Amino acid sequence: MQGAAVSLRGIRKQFGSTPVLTSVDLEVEAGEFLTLLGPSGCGKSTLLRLIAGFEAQSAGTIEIAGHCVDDLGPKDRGLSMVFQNYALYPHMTVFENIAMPLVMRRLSFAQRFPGLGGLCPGARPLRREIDGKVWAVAGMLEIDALLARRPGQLSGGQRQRVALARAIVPEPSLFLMDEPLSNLDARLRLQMRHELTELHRKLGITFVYVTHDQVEAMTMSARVAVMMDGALLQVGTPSEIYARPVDLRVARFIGSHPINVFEARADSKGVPSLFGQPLPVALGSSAGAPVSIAIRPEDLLLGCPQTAGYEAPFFDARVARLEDHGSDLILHLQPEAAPSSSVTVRVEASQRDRIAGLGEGACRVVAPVERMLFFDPEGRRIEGVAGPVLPLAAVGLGA
Amino acid sequence: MTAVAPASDGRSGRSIPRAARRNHARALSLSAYAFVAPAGLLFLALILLPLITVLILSTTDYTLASIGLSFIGLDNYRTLFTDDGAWRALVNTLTYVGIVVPAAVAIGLLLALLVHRRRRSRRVYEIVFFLPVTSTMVAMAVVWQYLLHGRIGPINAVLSALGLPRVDFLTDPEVALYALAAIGVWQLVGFTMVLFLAGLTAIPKELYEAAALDGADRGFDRFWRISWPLLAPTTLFVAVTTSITAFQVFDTVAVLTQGGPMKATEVLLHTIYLEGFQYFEVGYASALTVVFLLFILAFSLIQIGIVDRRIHYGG
Repeated sequence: MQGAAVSLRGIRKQFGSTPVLTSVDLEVEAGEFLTLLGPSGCGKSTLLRLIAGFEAQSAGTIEIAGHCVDDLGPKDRGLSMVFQNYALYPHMTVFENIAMPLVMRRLSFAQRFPGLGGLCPGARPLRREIDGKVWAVAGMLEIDALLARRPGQLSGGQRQRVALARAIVPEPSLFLMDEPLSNLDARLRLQMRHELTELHRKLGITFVYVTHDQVEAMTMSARVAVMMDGALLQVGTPSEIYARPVDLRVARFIGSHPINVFEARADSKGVPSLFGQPLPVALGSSAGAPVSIAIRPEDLLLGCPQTAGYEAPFFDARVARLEDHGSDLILHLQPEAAPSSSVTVRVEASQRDRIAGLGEGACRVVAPVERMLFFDPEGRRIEGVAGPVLPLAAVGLGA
Repeated sequence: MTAVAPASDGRSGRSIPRAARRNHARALSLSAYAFVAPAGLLFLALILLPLITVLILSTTDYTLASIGLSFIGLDNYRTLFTDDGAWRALVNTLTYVGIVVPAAVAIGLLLALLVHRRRRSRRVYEIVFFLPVTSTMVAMAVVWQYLLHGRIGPINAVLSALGLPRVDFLTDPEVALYALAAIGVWQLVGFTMVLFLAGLTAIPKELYEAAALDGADRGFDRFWRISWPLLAPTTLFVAVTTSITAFQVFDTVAVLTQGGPMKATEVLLHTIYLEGFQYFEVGYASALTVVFLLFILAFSLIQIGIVDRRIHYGG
């Protein structure tokens, strides 16, 4: 099996007058595992359905393996799909379910005609060949013992495997998956995540995977395409998406603990301030404009400014709540300068003893500038140029 | 609705005395019977007792308004099996059912498949085809009488305009039963169509999409491999209910032909009506009714037995 590249250019889709996708451009490389990630209603499933050919795009072109497929029906696009609820045929046995794509593709209309098809010349050897393929795929997914059953007699995990087998058996070059793990319990989901990545490695075909679960996206795929409000915001490796989000919405969506965002304003030289404290950074393009400063909970440090290795900006805060997650601790803090806002800090469990002493008390939070992300009012990220490290005493905030 | 067990010995907590537990269980089962009682009494009064009465009457020579009656055992049934009229009615009824049920099911299914994909016009078609179901058959029969009339009927006008011979639909013994069957189909098709439409709507869209990917994306393959098997429960229900309705054909016969010409349209229910309420032979009519009920029962059981085994997919 050979993976096929997918190329989407200027894809738009609207239902009636409601736009669902606004100009999506995406290149999926051959053999890649790409995840479409986004909150529900962002258009990711619609995009997948356009690729599958269940619906026609309002504008733009779709190419699979270098060929325009806009005029081809779903069955002619050389792809398979696993549906969220598996869409197994309830009236057929597992065997018949898996054999269905082969029966429809390999046998002629006369050969597969109910009842009489078996009498057609050439039907028997083809049927035997199909049987062999079904058994082989069932063996690979360890469901050969279930072939005689009907989907109604299977557990969720078993149905999932049958759906996978049915999708693999026609040897597609592109594999589409629409939230395939969302109906499984947490344990099984973890196992299937591993098995799907294994399957991808084994088959070597292109996987396009839709999910709203960022853990699935980050752990399974080589690249993640983050979608929101019908647009593709960023395509990149999981670490790029996490550490260098190009859009504030991406920064807010990614991360199991939400990123801290502070609203600030840059002065005439483009220097933003955090709680009145100028940061040692210059944002040339945003002079005099509002900026959003974002920093991940694990990038904030507790202690004295020197923890960061230089005189990093800091602020004092009260501990409002402490969550112990076992492997790490989450502190919800209220900055003294803005008691109504909330700041989240994540620290390793090894610091539990140090944190325990804080209780309801105050603490000093250090915010290393090199960890900060800056966004303009439209939510686009702006690169900061390291400015002169200002002596803290000069701004009257000395420790 | 749980009955509270009396705390007889003053001990509290989980050690409930055995007597109290038994009381509690008895109270529970009593309340269960109490809940079933209203429906049970209605069933008894409206279905079971009349049925038993009919069974008993069928073994008597009771005639309406007579003072006495005597048990004559199975004589009524013996008469029934040697009575040409009864046989004729039975054969006519079976013929009628044999035409109406397959035709109403097939045409209803075809219409449902055609109408299902329409978006805006679907409502219009549903109403148009369902109207005969809501209409009063006796009133509609008068309209059909005019339509099918041998001399002034528009259908014969069309036939003669096309150069075909006129047909006396309701007075020709060879044709009359089929004309009534056509009316029966006309009245049932809307009902079967709506049921099939509901069945089609209940088939998940993903199954059609999966089938489209697998190659069964249109026409015969999609119908044969997806729609038809998944409609099986609907089809069973439609077949059973239309058979029962068809077995009970009466109003068109009573209004249009009164069983004629030459008993060509004599059906079971009409015979029962004649025997019971025209000739007052209640005992004999009861025997006919029992046979009639047995036929409906047998018909339903056979259909369920054949199809039911194969159509429940367990979720």
